[in-house]
Amino acid sequence: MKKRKNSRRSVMSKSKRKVVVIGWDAADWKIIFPLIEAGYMPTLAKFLKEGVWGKLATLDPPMSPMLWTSIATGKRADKHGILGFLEPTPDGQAIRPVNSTSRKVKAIWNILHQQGYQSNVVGWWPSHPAEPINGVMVSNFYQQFKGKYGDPWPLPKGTVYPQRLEEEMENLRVHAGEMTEAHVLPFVPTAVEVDYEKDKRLYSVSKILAHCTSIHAAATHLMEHEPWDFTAIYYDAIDHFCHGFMKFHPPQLPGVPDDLFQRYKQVVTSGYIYHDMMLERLLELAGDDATVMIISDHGFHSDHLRPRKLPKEPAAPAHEHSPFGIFAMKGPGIKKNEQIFGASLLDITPTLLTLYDLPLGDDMEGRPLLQCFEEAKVPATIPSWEEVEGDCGMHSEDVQEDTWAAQEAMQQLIELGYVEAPDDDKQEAIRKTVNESQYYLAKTHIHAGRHDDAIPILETLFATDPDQTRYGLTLCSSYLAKKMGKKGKQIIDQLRNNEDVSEDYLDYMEGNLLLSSNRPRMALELLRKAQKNAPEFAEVHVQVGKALNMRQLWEEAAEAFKTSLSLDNDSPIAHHGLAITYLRRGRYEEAVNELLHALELMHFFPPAHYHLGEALVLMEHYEEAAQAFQMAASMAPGMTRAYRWLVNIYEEKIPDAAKAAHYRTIINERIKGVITIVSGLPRSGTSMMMQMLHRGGMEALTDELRQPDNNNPKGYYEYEPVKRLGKDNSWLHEAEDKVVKIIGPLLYNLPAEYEYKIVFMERDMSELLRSQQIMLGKTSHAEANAYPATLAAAFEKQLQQAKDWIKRQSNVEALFVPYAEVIAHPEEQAENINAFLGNALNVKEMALSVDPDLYRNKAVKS
Amino acid sequence: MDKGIKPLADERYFYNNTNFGNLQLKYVYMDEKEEKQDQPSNQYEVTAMGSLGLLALGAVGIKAWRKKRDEEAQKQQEERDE
Repeated sequence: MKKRKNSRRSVMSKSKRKVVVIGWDAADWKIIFPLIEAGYMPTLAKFLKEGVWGKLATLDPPMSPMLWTSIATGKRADKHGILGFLEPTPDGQAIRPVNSTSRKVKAIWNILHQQGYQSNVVGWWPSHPAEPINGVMVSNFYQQFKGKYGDPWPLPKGTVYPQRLEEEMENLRVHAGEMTEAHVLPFVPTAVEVDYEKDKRLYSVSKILAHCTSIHAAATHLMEHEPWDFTAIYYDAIDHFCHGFMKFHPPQLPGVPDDLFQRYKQVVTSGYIYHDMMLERLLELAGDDATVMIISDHGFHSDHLRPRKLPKEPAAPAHEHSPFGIFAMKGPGIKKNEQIFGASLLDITPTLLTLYDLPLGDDMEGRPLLQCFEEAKVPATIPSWEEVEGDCGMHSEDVQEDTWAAQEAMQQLIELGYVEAPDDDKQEAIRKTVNESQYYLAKTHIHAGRHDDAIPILETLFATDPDQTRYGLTLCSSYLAKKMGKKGKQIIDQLRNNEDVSEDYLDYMEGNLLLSSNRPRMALELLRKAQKNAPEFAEVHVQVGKALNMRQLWEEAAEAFKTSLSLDNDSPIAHHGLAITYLRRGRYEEAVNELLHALELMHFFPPAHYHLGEALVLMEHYEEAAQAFQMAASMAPGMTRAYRWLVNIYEEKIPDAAKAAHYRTIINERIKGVITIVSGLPRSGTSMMMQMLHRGGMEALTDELRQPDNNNPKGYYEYEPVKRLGKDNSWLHEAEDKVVKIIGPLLYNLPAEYEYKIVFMERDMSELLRSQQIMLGKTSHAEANAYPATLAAAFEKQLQQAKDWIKRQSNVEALFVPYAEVIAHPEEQAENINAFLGNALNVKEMALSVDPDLYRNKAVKS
Repeated sequence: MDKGIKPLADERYFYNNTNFGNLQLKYVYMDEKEEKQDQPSNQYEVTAMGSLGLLALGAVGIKAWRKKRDEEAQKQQEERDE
């Protein structure tokens, strides 16, 4: 047969721009590059030379229907509404695979529909029932089959839009029973030796191959015969081959029997090679004038990071996914043979809109990948595409699905291990499904940094289902992020009673809690224990490194980060941590290398840009340093240190008066000066901290009106105008470059024009209240020891509000210091505080000023 | 195994497989230069057994393979009937 090269290329609609998006679920550069190197993926190799490529950061949770919907909408799951693999049916009587009717926002093809473009969309997950778009949609139920080859195989209702194409599409599907040895032997060369009855894996290969070939047949037919401006095709085969056969991929994992390893070791690579072959055909049909994008929603662990055992939980196979998928694009106006960095799958829809010169929605969470374009582009924006009225090709609310087809799709998910076989008890199955969706919603909030939204969801889930330890662990990580150490500790203590949770993991979590509470010594004890017992856990080494960095033990920290990177070289946090150890030891080139690696993995990482700037300044590469500081400042506008460096560079290193003036203006507009503040609740050790800083060399702003007394024998270090801060802050300039005491509830009154460094004292609430009671003259034993629960709750609330406020301020940096830790380890805490305030204080003097005899109201341990 | 075939360093992929379509053979065993030289032929053998190369062509490949397969089946049936 003659290959019909360009004999009938794609049918074009009237628009100039043609774009093809090819989705390869779970494709990973770690597998692809060795195959390209060996010459096994020549089409993709050529594609990369002709275009741009890079890693594509996934979202959490890495569940494919959620991710592919984020790719198509530019929005996270809380906005688009697809929350997992399953959902209750609208009547609430059953569960079903997630459905296109559950998507709450427009996908790219709906936006293009409104702009008059024609789209072919094939197999997108989820897209059943097919939407009535301008063009053709073939849903993700299209390739599913039930029964043997030759049995009736009707096309489920709602699979193809428009209906006129149903018959043609129906006949293009391929059944697993049609696959011959010619198709299967490339995957399993010894297939003839396999006992089909006993080993179902061979059938699984045929099934995955048939599914993906059906999708490819539909896509190629539509590209050839239907007019289109946009084509989107989703192939799930790489993900499915990987879930089934990655355990047999070389190198052989311990515990994998030799015969099975030999039999199935090339299934994964053959799957990739087949995709390269299909790609050649798609490119031929697309034509040279089309822009083609190849993407995956996440990667797949293929090395020592392959999990040996999956947890017993819904969607457990998602633990096999790795956090970076692939991105590659070529076409007119796209750069050639260039790697790009920092792409996220939320950027795909904004990039597609930019390709069509359409405005971006302000409510989209990604950004167009402008670095891919040869010519600079400045995309316009609109508030939201959701507000653009008129038909967009989405379903009306009354669309019903074909339950038969839903069962097949459900069976597929069960076979892949993504969902459990539903409970016989329907209500229980529905309850579990709803809980899972809520859990994924909470995880979505967490990934977006919205812990406040996640915490109430997780608290409810964990309260109703305490046996689901992942609810508790996730809740704990949110508490940790919000510096709600006490609540986090309560969860850890509760989980320690559960035998299913690894003690090492809980030590790791508790170590993290201590680290976030600025207790590196105590944190290290637990983290070292976890590190010893679970050395294969990369994250624990990162946390050990962080703790050691806090203690400025650079050599040891570097070792911890290196160990982590030897286990997982894709951790931007570990590369950043290692870079800091190099930076502080004067090894600038190595620091730069590590920072570039970190930024390659995660572009939106302001501290890494900042430290890159620092390293480059020290290497006297001032132009590049300025670029790094500009990037840091653009990502984190509150990072005044970056602006200060920019002023320094343009005033002294590469004099440019205009630029120096520009950045100085920014600083002056935003920041009048730096004020150090000691804060906390009354009796939390604020006077002690003032004394420490004063002894360490800082000038304190105090009027000494309040004289030392029995409650504070060394003085109060107060300044009377502070009490009127809400009404009059004109005196604040007096506090510039000094330290002043301002209690927590007054912090909100601080104006934005200063930069504040707050040393925030924390003390056990019962100690604090007892100390206050005594100070107020309630000296009788009964009065002083009565625990005022209402007052305690009010103070807890005030504290949390103050912490939340601090987090929201771009001009505030805070260090939370536990009072008891200062008493117990004054030198360690003095070191931390000194590092936080710029390393200019006398640590020894600070530590000597702490008088443990003044710790008179200790909490009573029960 | 044919001359010039390059197995991967750690194993010999497809060693036992002689049923690959021509397209696949080209993909697996050629380096870039060879590939360019070989491009103009673009001939695909359609057999009743089919090949991954034909499947990768999409709709046209599947149709061609099925047509050949059904013709062969009919021919065999006719031979048996005779």
